[in-house]
Amino acid sequence: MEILTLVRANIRRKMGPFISIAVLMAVISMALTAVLSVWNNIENGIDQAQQRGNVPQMTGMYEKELLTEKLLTDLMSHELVRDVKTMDTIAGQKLTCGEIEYSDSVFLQEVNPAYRLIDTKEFRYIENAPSLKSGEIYISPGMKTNFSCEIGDVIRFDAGFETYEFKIAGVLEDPALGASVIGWKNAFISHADYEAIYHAVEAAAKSKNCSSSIVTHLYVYQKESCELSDNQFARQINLDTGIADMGNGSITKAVSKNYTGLFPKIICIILTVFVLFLLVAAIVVLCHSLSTGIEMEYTTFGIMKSLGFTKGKIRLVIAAQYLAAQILGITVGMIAAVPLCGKLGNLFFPITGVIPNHNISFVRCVGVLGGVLLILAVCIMLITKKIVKISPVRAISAGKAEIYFDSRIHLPLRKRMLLAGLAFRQFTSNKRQYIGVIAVVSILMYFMTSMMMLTAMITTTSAWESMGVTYQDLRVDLKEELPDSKILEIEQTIGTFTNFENVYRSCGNYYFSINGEQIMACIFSTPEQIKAIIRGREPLYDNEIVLTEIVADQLGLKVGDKVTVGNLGRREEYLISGLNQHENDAGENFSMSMEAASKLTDVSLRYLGYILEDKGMGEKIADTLNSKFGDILTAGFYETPMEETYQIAINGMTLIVYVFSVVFAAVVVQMVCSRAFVRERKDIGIYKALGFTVQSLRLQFAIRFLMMAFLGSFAGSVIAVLFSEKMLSSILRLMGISSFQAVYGVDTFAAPLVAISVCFFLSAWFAARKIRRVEVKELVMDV
Amino acid sequence: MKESILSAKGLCKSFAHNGGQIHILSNINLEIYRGDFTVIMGASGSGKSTLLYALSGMDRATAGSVVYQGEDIVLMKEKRLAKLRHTDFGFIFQQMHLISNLSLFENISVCGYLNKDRKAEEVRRTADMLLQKMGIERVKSHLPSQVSGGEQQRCAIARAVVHSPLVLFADEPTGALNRRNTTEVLNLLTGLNEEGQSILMVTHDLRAALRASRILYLEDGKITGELTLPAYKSSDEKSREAQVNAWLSSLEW
Repeated sequence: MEILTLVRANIRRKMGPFISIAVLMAVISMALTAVLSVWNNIENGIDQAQQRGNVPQMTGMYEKELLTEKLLTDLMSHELVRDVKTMDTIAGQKLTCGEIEYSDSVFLQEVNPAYRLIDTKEFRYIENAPSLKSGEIYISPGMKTNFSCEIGDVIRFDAGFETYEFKIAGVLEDPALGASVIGWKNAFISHADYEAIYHAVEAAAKSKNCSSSIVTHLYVYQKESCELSDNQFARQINLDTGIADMGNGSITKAVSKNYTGLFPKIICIILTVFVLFLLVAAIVVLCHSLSTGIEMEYTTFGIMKSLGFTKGKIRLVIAAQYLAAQILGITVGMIAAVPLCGKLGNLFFPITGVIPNHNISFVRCVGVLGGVLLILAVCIMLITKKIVKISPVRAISAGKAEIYFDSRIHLPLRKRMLLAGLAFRQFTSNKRQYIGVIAVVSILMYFMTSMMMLTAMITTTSAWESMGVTYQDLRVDLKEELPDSKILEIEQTIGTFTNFENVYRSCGNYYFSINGEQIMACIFSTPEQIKAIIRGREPLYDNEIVLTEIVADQLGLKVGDKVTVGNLGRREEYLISGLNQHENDAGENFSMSMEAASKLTDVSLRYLGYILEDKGMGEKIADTLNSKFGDILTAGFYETPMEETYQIAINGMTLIVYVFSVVFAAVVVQMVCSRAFVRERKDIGIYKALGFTVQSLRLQFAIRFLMMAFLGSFAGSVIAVLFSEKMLSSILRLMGISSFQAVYGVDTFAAPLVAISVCFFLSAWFAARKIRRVEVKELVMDV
Repeated sequence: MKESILSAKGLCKSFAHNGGQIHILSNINLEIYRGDFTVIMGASGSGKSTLLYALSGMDRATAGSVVYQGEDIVLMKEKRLAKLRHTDFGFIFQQMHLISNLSLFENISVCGYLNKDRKAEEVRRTADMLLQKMGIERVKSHLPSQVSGGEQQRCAIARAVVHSPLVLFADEPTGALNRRNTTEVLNLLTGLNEEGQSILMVTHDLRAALRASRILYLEDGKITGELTLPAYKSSDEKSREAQVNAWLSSLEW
């Protein structure tokens, strides 16, 4: 009972710190609950959609004639295979919607009855959807994102010999290829349209002007008894049947899930890391608050001891009041996260194409937050150990021994900038009190700076290039193999408008197998075109390739190793000459020169990429090239290096980091200011007695915290320079960037510095409003 | 004819307590004259410190006025009061109240720096001169916690006069000092008064009161007695002590 009385009294008396701790914990709890729940909801959403859509463990794309009866029989009789299905599709490379042309393969097919129609505004499924009419098309959410189109817009499918037009009638959930990050796309048309186009393509297939083909999708289902992962299963059946070598490419269920959830996963990981940093900052603040609180209550604890309270009971009282604030904050945070979960989950829909659940992952969050509470409880018990040392007699007679102020960092006080000088003196005299604040600022600054580096990367083309992400303003797709003289003529035409740089000459991407594992091969006209080499060198000879670090790790390969690369039954041995970075297939790819690839298939130069000096001329150049060389090429101008959706998501994440950091910083300043105010109340009275105004003293307080913001920011910036690249590399590795190269600019550090400093200054100014209430007469001993 | 520099009329100070009012000061009328060493005496709880704080503008009176150079201190705004404290008034506390993280030199000069009309160099010179005068030049760069109580109080006096105030207020300046330090501090105050400094001091120490040229006696928030003395000389301290003792006895002190 006595403990309860004391806890209640302490909470009443110290409502400010109680609320501050509760707010800190609420911020952490809200962020953690939202991130964990959103990620869980997305994962579950993908799993449920894949289950509903009966997505097979492996989907392969084959030229119809290459998928022989023998191959199918071998597959059917394989001990690990439960079922094999095939479906013919019409593969097109030229789909346009308005001005936007889709640059990857699209497979037109009949509506899959297992897939469900989506209301993309309300994020729900549409029951009893009407069947498709002729001239109508259903597209996947990812395609809608890629095309930036709406229902009712028209999609044109250029089959080469004829162009077909379809009105978008709806968006169909496609759990296999529906995410915007997956290049291949399914699109669904009516039975009548399918039949008509299928036969037309089949008839025109041999003609030169046919740019589409019939591609058979092969669906391979794994036996329930098979314990291999999807990727292991695909590798095993390929090793046993050679199925992958015969195809244009394949994707496993696990890879599809990985790609679908890739971007939200990266965002969630970054936010989780951020929340963990916030947690560390909160622990620093709590320990600091607790430690200074004990020093300030030294006499009270002495009195309590003299009254018969044991050290254990005193520690329990302290722990109970802090834990009560933390539990309150955690509960409030979890409740506040409910609407946030829905909003964040919906934000990712255009990327994943899967309707997320909006549930709170209650058990997971309670478990994690329970762990957080446990860590905090341990910290409290460690800090309150100093209660043991309090002697009742000394505490009551002398209180805490007078703080001995001395510092080597002494700057003489000057009349000019007197307030800044006094603020600096207050700071250097109480360094220990403020180290916690500086640590918190450095943590926040580190993360905010890292976010700036990430944001800078999105908008800096050279950064993309250095990390193996292809960027171009102008892309030219060649319809046929052209002599160098013709390419020179094309480039001369571009040169009449503006200066330019040819950034790549690609023969396209193929799926070859490396030691039995099917991996994307990026084929460039010459070895010099292969960029972002991070180890070794370019593949200069026709028996050399370079792998991404991710593929090398996956397959356990290193520079100098020899591998067997296979395609359509042909196999050749290659030497790994180096490791590079390349974004395609989330970094799961390898690169080779045209000369090296010609040993496995017939390749020719197909794509040219250019960066224009005057981007304003882009549209004009594309139009000119299309009208002048329309029979041999298609040119397109791309305004942004990254799709808008990703930019919005990353900017949104940066905003979240900034908002949370600023709120966190404001609460920390309030907490530390309150303590400093109590400790310095007498000094404030003296300053007032000497003639300092309330405004000048508030300014002194604010300047002191501004100094801490600067110091913390400096420390945070140094840490960011040292560690941000490593942190971001390990996160972005998921999307194929294994060696993140940060781009620094003044704004990289200035923006977070300004945000933190302004927040600190204003919060301290606001917290110091209590100075008004300090009366000089408080210095009087006797009336 | 003495020149009045501070004039209190109908000065009252009361606090609300348990639904009623506690009157600390009741209708006090008082003049403080230029060059005087005025001492306010009284028993504990008589309201002497409250009067000092009300007269110096450190606390606001509940009713009445304190006129300084034609302005009522009671009605002054915070900013004006702050200016008054670093230009015209100086204050010495019983517990010294030096700023613990500033050296003695800085404690003195910081107050001078606040006055915009004075150059920094002039303030530093004055601070050095005062440190010498107070005999604490040797420890000028020490922090308050590193010097004795007497040295701290001497520093507090120097801080109070660094801006050459018109009135120096002192609240029991010897209350926390031993005998030797008390004498030293009183000698310093007497010296300042001899140089023309007007001083208004609260004390219940008879030895301190002996230095005054005028003693006011406060009882239950009212001035109940006043004694005028000739200028202090150490040679006539005994006869002065007898005179003050007799006067205080007559007031049942």
